Amino acid sequence: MPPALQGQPHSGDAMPPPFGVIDIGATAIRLMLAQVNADGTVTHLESLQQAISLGKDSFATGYISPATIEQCVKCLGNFRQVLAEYQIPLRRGHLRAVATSAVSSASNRDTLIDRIYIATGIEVEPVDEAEIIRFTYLSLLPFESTPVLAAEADNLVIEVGGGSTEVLALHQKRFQFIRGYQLGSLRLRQQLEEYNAPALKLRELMESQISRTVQDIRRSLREPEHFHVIAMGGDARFAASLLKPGWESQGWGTLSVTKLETLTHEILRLSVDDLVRTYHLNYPEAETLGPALLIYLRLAQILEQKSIFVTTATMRDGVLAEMSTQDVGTERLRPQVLQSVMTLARKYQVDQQHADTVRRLSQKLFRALQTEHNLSPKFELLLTAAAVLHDIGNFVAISGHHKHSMYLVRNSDIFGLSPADVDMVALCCRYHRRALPRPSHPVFSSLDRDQRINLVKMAAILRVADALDRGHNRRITDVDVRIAPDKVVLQVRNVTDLTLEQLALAHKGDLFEQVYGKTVVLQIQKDR
Amino acid sequence: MADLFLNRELSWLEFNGRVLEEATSPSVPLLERLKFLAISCSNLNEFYMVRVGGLHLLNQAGSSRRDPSGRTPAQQLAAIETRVKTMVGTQYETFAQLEANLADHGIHRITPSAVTPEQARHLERLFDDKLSAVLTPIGIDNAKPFPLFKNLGLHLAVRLAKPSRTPRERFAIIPLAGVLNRFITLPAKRGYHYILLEDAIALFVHRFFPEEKVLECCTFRLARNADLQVQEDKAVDLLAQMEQILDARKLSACVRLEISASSTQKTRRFLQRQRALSVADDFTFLLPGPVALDHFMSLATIEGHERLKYPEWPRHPSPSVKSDRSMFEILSKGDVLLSHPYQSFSPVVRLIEEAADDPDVLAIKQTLYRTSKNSPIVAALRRAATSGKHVTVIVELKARFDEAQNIAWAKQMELDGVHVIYGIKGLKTHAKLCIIVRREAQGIVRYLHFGTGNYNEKTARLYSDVSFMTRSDYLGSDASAFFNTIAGYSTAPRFLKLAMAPLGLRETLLNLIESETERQRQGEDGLIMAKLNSLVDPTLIEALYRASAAGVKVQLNIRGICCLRPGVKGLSEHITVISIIDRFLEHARIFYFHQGGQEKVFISSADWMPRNLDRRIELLVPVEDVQNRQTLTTMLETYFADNQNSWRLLPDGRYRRLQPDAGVHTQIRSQLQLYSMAGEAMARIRQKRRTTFEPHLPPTD
Repeated sequence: MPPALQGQPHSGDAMPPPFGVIDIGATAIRLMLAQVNADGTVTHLESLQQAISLGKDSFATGYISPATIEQCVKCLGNFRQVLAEYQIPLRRGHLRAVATSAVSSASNRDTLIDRIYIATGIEVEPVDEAEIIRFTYLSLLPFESTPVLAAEADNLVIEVGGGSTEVLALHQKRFQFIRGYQLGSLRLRQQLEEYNAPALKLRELMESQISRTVQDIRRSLREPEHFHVIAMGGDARFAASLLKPGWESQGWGTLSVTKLETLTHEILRLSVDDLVRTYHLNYPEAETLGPALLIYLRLAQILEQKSIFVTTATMRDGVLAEMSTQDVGTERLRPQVLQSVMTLARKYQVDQQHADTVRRLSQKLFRALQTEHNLSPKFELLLTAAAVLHDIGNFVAISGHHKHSMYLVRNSDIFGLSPADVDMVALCCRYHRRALPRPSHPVFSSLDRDQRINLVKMAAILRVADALDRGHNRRITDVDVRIAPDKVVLQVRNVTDLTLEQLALAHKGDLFEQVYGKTVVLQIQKDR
Repeated sequence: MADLFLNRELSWLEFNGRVLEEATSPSVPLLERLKFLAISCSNLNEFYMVRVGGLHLLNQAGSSRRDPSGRTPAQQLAAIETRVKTMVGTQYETFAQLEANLADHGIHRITPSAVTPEQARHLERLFDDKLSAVLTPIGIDNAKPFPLFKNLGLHLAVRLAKPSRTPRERFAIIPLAGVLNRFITLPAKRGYHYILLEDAIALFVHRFFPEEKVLECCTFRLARNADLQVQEDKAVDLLAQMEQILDARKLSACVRLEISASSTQKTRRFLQRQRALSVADDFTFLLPGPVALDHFMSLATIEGHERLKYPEWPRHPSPSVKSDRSMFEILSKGDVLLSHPYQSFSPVVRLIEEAADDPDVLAIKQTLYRTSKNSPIVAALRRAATSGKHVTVIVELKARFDEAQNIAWAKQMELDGVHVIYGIKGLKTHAKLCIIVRREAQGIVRYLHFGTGNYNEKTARLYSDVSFMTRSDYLGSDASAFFNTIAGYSTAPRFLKLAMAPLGLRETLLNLIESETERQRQGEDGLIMAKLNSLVDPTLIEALYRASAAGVKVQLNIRGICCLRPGVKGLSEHITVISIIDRFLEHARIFYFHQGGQEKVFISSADWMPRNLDRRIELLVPVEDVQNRQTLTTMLETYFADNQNSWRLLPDGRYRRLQPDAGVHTQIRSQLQLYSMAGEAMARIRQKRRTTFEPHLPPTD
């Protein structure tokens, strides 16, 4: 049995409909259907794929041709039929359709997305490299209990796609670096075709392109020889099915690099037509197989590996993990997110002690007010991130620093957070002082009603927490919270004078009062 | 190389010979013997239209391409002619014998000369009232093109002469095909008397030509290969070589002329020389009895005369299918394997009917190949669609006999909202699969039916087939993927459990055979048992030879064509091939691989022929639970123990009927044994039910 994803258990009679994930890649469009069982385990129901070479258009001309767009529409129309059979609504929460580099890099990507929406009702979201890596990471989490992600090991996760190669280095399950390379199996084949070089020469060119990338990866690793390679992607899985028939039943397998080398050379020797005939592949698969395997092989060799891991996990599993676990998935990334946030904070030289105090106070308030705001643990994580980052704008200028914080956060990658989540953190930073949220504010105006409410609930807490460390002097590091019908009483021990903080609260408690309908009162706790 | 393979045409003729042998077997009831005779005859028709027709065209085009057995088309045709001429001789000897025996039981065929006056009056009335109105003689005029006659239709050739001093002869032809029954019941004091239509007409044929004298009236029929293109799956190996020479005129050429032996040379020459027919002597058969013995099928199935038919074997229910439980409930307890026709097909129909009416069923997907008129399955699918379920059906229109009918009900299904897919371009969908997607408290569950036979409760009574029903997640996921692939929604995935033709089924079989071979080499006792209808694929045959050479015991139960040559030292001495010919048509495909004790057992829709593995959509399905695996293994073993209706293939390609070994008095007839086993299984359950009592409980929802 492959290790199963762990989702959010549910109760009651009503079994929710299954989830659908669509992944629009450079060489294929795929649909995965899965359900979360009553005990929270995830079962795959169906996987469909249609070979469509979006990448061929997009990487060569920067533009997806109308014919290809119609192919996508037809394919997604068929997928919609299958979704309808399972009564899966075409809404986020039930279905996510993500598009990777071939779509995101096309100049007419909006035309494609609109056309698909009009014809099929399916809303496609382009995802960037950081998100792909996050999904990839999430998809691997179920393998924590297997040798693939052994706790003490360092892992180098590599996924060769048609348009790009994503690399994620994990040091004892914490990430060391993430990077996307513009080296894709399809892109590689296409670039080489443009040279019109003879076959022998092509191989040489391919090798040199790959060599540059794998050397760069090696240079980026501390102690590269300690890393185990985990190869993701359809080409790696295909190699595994040839070298180790039946490997899927366990969910993962190891491939000997020597055998991989023999296979790779064999496959590169065959023409695309031969590959299709010999291995029952479709043309797009056959075109990318050789270059992709060569990338895996050369990386394994430069890292002096004897074998590499292959798993059944795909990026779609990561998307599904995020959907099916609701926020639990993001929760599991908490250490990664926090580490990423800390790195960012250090980069912009924040007052560490103040950041830390505000973080702790925010968390305290968030938990104490759980019944008032009713937000899931994911928002605590977002609030925590905002608490650490709220002052990074000072790096640019003190005046208006909350606005600088906002754009710095929005333009940084925080590993483990989706772009929507990053926006929430950024807005939270924006509203930690000064103006209250207004519908006319950019970014804020793009949120839907639920998101706005969630945001102001967090921002209100952050403002209070920031007020409590008004002097950046850590006089208040902890508070007792008591909730009364009309007010929230914060009691502090070991402090004699709270004038400064009370003044700040009077100033910054406004949002809290608006949101929670209670005033915030700060008192000194009398020793009993 | 050439000696490695038996010729497929000759092997097929051997099969037909075995069918014909049943017609001579004294242990077979008389009307059943007549039925076997009729089957051997209609088989031969098809063989001529498809196989011989194809070879003939190749030969005419001068092809000298050799088949795997090393014969050119000309050599094959010569060998076929020799074998068929003997076979037709046997058919008519058998027919004469059967007629004599039938007469002993009161079933008489009356010849024109033996008609009593009373019978003659009856016939005259019939001729005047009905026959004369329906029949249309066609005068043959050399100036006009020869009329195109119905393929396989019976015709009368009438030679006429005007009474004059210099009589000039001419010919007229009367087509008999159409609404008329070949067998005309005659009034008789005792027993059943009948006369053949052509004989009845012969008595009065002169009335059509009042001015002329009838010199001769004889029956003939023609077979053409005009259907070659429609029957693409049957002769595609030949077709592929013929593409350049195909043209309509050649295609409709006549491949066989059957005519009464009583006809004159004159009439025969007249027919043979028609440009539209141009039949060589090789393809002309002079028959010493009625033309078209295949028509005697309707006499064989005549009402009454039960003593002359096989005793009824009422189908047993399956012990695992309780009638008071829903199929969903039953399958939640475990997989169900049914062996038809010993066990009833009705659980399969029930599953689909219950699915149609179950509010929790979301979707039904099914392949339909040949199904029966007024099929309850089609009715259920339509009902399901009407009630808002997603119903997808793949209808195979290349199923030959009743295409018009298939199209009609397919259209009807579409009107009810069924998503109908009319076959797959270039491939014939032969796999039998039904998927039912149901929402349950625990989530989505898929109920599956895999079969070796068609969704046709009528043929399920005559064919020996296997049904396998399960709700396994792995198979469910594979089955959905398979369906999405053939529906064009998805490219083929890598299956977890299933194998699919034309994408990898052959490779899976090769791997299994090779694994068994390798295990034998490493000292294990290898065993392969397989039951199928035809073995032609050279790659698989060679793999089996390698297995035999390594010492793997290979037991093959192949009803029809087998191009593998068994029992040759150094090549195939560990391979035995048997063929079972009995009351039910052996149709199930079951494969067993010992795998060092980790037995692997499969059922399949596919024969081991290139056409099945390369040009059809087929499935190979593992049966993994111990009990059902054991049942299938026992079935295979039962066939190999048969010493009544089992034939052993000899190294030279001939077959010998097996006898109980000397000193052994147990007669084992596998079909009877399997029927008894099905009955015993049920009896055990009934016994058990009597000792454990089960109270009626209030209904639960």
